[in-house]
Amino acid sequence: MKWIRKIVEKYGKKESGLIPILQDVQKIKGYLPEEGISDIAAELKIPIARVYSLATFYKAFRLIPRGRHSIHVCLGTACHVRGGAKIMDRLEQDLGVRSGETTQDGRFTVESVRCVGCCGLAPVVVIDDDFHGKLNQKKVIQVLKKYE
Amino acid sequence: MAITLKIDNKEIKAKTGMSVLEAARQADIYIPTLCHHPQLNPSGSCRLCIVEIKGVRGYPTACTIPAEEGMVVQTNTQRLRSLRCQILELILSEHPYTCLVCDKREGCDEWMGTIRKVGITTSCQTCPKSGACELQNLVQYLGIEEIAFPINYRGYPVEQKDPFFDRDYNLCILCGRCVRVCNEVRYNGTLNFHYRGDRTVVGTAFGKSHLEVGCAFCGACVDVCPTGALAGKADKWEGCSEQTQHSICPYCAVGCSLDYHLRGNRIIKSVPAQGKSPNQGQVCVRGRFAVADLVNHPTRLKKPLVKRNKQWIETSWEEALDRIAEQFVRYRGDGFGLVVSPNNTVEDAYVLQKFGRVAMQSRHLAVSSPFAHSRWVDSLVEIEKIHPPHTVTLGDIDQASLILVWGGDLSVSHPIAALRVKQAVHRGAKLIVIDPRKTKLAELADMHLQPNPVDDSLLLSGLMKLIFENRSDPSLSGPQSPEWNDLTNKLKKVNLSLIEEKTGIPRNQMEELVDLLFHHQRILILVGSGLALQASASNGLFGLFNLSVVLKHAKMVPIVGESNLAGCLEMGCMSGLLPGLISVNEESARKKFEKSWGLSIQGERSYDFTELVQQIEGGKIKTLYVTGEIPPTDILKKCHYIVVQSVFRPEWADWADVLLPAAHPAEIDGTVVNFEKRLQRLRRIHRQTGLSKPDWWICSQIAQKMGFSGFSYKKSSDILNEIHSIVPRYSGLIPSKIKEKGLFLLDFKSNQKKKSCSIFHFDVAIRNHEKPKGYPYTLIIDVGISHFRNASLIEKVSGMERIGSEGKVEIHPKDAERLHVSTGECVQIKSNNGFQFEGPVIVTDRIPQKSLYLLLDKKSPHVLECFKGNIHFVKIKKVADDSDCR
Ligand code: SF4
Ligand code: SF4
Ligand code: SF4
Ligand code: FES
Ligand code: FES
Repeated sequence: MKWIRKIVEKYGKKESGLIPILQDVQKIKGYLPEEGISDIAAELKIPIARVYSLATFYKAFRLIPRGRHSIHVCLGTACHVRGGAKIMDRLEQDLGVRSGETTQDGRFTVESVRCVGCCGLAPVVVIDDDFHGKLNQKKVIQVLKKYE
Repeated sequence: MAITLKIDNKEIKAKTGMSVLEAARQADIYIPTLCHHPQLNPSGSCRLCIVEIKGVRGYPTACTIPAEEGMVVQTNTQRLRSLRCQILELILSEHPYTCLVCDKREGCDEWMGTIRKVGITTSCQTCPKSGACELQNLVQYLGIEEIAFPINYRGYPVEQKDPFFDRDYNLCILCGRCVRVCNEVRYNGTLNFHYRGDRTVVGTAFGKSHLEVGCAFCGACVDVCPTGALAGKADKWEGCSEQTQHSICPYCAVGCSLDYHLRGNRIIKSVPAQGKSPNQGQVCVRGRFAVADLVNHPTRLKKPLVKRNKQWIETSWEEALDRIAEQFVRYRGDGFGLVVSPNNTVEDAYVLQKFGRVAMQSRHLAVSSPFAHSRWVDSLVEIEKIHPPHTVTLGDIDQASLILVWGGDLSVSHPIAALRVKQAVHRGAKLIVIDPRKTKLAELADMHLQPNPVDDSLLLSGLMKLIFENRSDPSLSGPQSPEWNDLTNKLKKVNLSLIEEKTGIPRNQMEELVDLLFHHQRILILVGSGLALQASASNGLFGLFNLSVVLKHAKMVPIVGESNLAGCLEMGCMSGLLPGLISVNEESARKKFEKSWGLSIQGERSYDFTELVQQIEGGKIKTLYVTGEIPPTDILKKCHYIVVQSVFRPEWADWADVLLPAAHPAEIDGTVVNFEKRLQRLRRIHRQTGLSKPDWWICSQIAQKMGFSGFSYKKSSDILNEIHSIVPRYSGLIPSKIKEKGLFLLDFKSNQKKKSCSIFHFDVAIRNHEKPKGYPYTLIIDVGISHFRNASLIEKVSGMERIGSEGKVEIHPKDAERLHVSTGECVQIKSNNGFQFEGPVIVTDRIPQKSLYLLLDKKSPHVLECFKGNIHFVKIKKVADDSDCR
C-alpha cells in the first residue's frame, strides 16, 4: 500500500524506525491491521514475525480495532476500596481479555481509569457515556447486556 | 592472540574473542547452560551460566562475557550453585516438571519405550524429549529434588496441524534458541517472541500455521530446542537414539553431511552433522524429514519379483538373476538400453556402464535426470576440459562480494546452497537474481531482472555487448584466440534495442548490472535449473562461462540436479562418454579401456535419456535395464523386456518383467560426487531391508551369470580401486584418503594441466521466439523436489504433499481473473507441439503476466516431454469439472 510505503520512507526505511512507523499507522487506522504489518515488513525487508513481535510487546499498540463499546473500570481510591479491582477481575474473566484489550468479537474494549469524579457511587464503571455506580461482580455482567 | 586466565584455580590458555564459557569448555570445565548453543550468538537470557569474576561486580553470564588476560573466574561456588538452583526452579515453574523430580523416575524409565500417542504433555509419560532432555540433565546436575514454586500450566493448545513437526509451547522455557536459529542462521524469520512478561510466547506472526507463513520446515528450530516443545512428528515417539552414524544426504547435489540416529536397528531420524562440510550443520526439509520415512517405508521392495502369467511371483535372487541373464544374452547389442539413476553411487554407475558397454555391447546408456540432456552435459564436459575440474565450492559463496544467481529457484532445488547465499547477503555481499519469477532469493536481491522466459542467451548477448563496447578497459582484451575475435565481431552486430524488446529488460537495467559487475572483485555466478532446462542451455552456459572469463575475478558453477548426477556423468553413464569424461572418439583412451575390460566398446553418441525412451516407440530399443524409475509413460509398454532395480514398485510395474529390490543409500557403502565435485563417502548404517542389494552387486551378478569375468567385485571398495587404476582422471585418487570431509576431484587431479583460459563459441543470433497464434502463454518448467530415484516421495513421506507446489500451475492474478480461476481450481494446458497437462492453479504474483510456471512432479504424465526443453508456448483453459484435479 502506498500510504504505508510513505510512512516507512519517512523514517528512513530502517528497522530502527519501526516503532514510530507503527505509531503512525495506528494513528491513521486506529489499530494495526494485519496487511499493514505485513506491508511494513515487506517494505523494510524484515520478517513479519519481527514486526508482530514488537507490535505485541508494547501495550500501546492494538492489533484489533477498538471495540464498539468502551468499558472504563474506575480503580481510583474510593472505587478501589469498594471492590473496583474485583469488578475488573470479573470483566477480564468473563470477556476473556486483559485491561487495555478488545474482545475477539469486537464488542468491548476494557480499560481502567483513576477516578471519574463520582466517588459517592463507587465502585463505578463507565460504558461509553453511561455511568454505572454501586456495582458488584454480578451487577456489572447484567449491565453489559444492554450493549450489543 | 593467546591469553591466559584462571578458571577454578586452573591456568587456562584461550584465544581473544572467546567467551569465558568457551574458554572453560575447551579446558573441560563444565558450566551449566541453557540458552547457549554453539551454533548461535549468545543471548545471555537464561542466566544459568553465571560465574564469579574477581573485580567484576555481581554474577556475569559466562556465555556473554569475553575472556580476558589475567581474569580469575570461579564457576562453581556454593553461592553460584544455590543461585543456579533458584534460577532453574523459576524456569521450571512454567514447565510441567513431574518428569524431572518424580522420585519414581528411575523405575519408570523402563517403560519409556512404549508408544505414547498422547497429544498433550503433562508429565514424563508423554514428553518426546524424555531421556534426551537438557532440563533433565540440569536438574540432575544441580541436584534439585523439589521445586518451591507451584506449576503454572499455561494451557496453550498443542500445534499439530503443520507437517513434519509439532509444537507444545507449554513445555517452552523461552530460551530463544529456536528464534535465534530461525532468524540468525536460517534467515527465515518464521519464529519470534510475542507479547511480554508472563505472557511471552514463541510463535509465528498472528499465530498462523507454519505453512501459512512460509516456514521452510528445515527443522533447525527442532534440533536446537532443549526441551520437548518442538518435536518431529515422525521421530517423536521413536524413543531415545542409541547411536549416531555419519553419511551423506541422498537427495540433491549439495550432498549435505547427515548424522543418522539409530535405535536398535532402526533409523529414527536424520539430522545435520555438526561442524562438517559442506553444509556446516544445516540441512533442508528433505535431509531432515524425508530420509528415515523412506528407509523404513512399509512398501519397500523386499524380494525379487518375476512376472509369470501376468502375476508377480516372489522369488530368490538365484532364480531372478538366472532368468535375467538368460534373457539379456538374447538382447545383446544395439537393442539394449541402460538407464542409470542420478541417485546411484559412483561405484554403481561405473559397474552399470561397464555392463552396458562390455557385457551388453550397447552404446545406449543414459542418466535419468532432466539435466542429463546432451546439450547441457556436452558443454559442461567441454568447460571441464579447459578448467579441470570445477574449482568452485560452497566456501566461495562465503567469499564472494557479488553473487549472480542465474535462473532457477535455489531455495527450492538446493536449499543449503541458497542458505549460503542468504548468509553472504546478510554479511554484506551484493546479490543479483536473473529469473522471470520472483524467487525467494529475488526477495533479498539488490537487483532482480525478469527477462522473458525461453532463451536467456538473448539477455547474455546484450550484457556481453555492453561489457565489450562500453568498456575499453585493456584488461578486458582477453586471450587472443579465434573465438575471442569471433565473439567481438559478432557482438558488434548485436542490436541492443532488439534485445530490449525481446527480453523485456530495458537498457538502463542492463547497464546498471554491468556496472555492478565491473565494480566487484570477487564475483560468483551460480547457474540454476532455469537455464539448464532451456533448449539453448548449452549456449547459455558457454555465455556465462565467457562472462566469468572476461570478468577476470569471476567464477561460475552450475548448481543443478540430484545427489550423484555429477558422479554418474563422471563415470560415463552417457552415450559416447567414457569414465573420466573421456569421449569415445578418443581412440587411444578408448583402446585402453577396451584392453582393461577385455572387450570392444561400442562407440558414438546415440541418445540422451528422453531420446532413449522415445526410441522404444520406434522399436530401436527393445530391452531396458533401469535403476530407479522412469517417470510414467505409455511408451514403456512397447518394450519387449524390462528389468527394474528399485526401492519401490514403480507405478508402471505392469510393463516390467523383473523387479529387483535395491538397497537405499543408507544401506550401502559407496561414494557420491556433489556439485562442487567433492567425492564423499556414503556409509552403510542400516541393514539392508528384506533381500535388497546394492545396484552394483545386482548388476555384477547378472554379468557373471552371463559368463563375463571382470565383474567379480566383493565390496564397493573393489570398484573404487578399479576406477583408481584404470580411469586416468582418478589415478591420483587414493580411496583411503576420502575422509568425512570428502575429497575434491581437484585435489587428486593427476595429469591434468590447466590450459590457458579460453572462451567458447557463443551464438548471439536472435532466434525467433514469437508466440504462435492461439498460444498466448509462455510456460516455464522446473523440477520439483519430491522425488528420489525418480519415484515420487509424495505418498511415501507424510507432509511432502503439503509443502511446495509440485504438479500445480502458477498463474498471475490478472491472468487468473481473465480465466476466472482461483487457487486450487483445475486448468488444462496445451502446447503448440502436443504437450498437455491438467492440474490445479496457484494464483500468485511471483510469476509475471502471460507466463505460467509448472514445477514438475515425477508422477504426472508427460513429464518426459518436459525434460526435452522445447515446450514453451501454451494455451490454458479452466476445466469445468475439477473432479480429476488433485
Ligand atoms: S523449520 Fe526452519 S524455517 Fe521453520 S520455524 Fe523452524 S527454523 Fe524457522
Ligand atoms: S520452543 Fe524450545 S528452543 Fe524455542 S524458546 Fe521454547 S524451549 Fe527454547
Ligand atoms: S540441501 Fe540437498 S543434500 Fe542438503 S539436506 Fe537438502 S536435499 Fe539433502
Ligand atoms: S474513585 Fe472511582 S469515581 Fe472516584
Ligand atoms: S547460557 Fe549463558 S545466559 Fe543462558
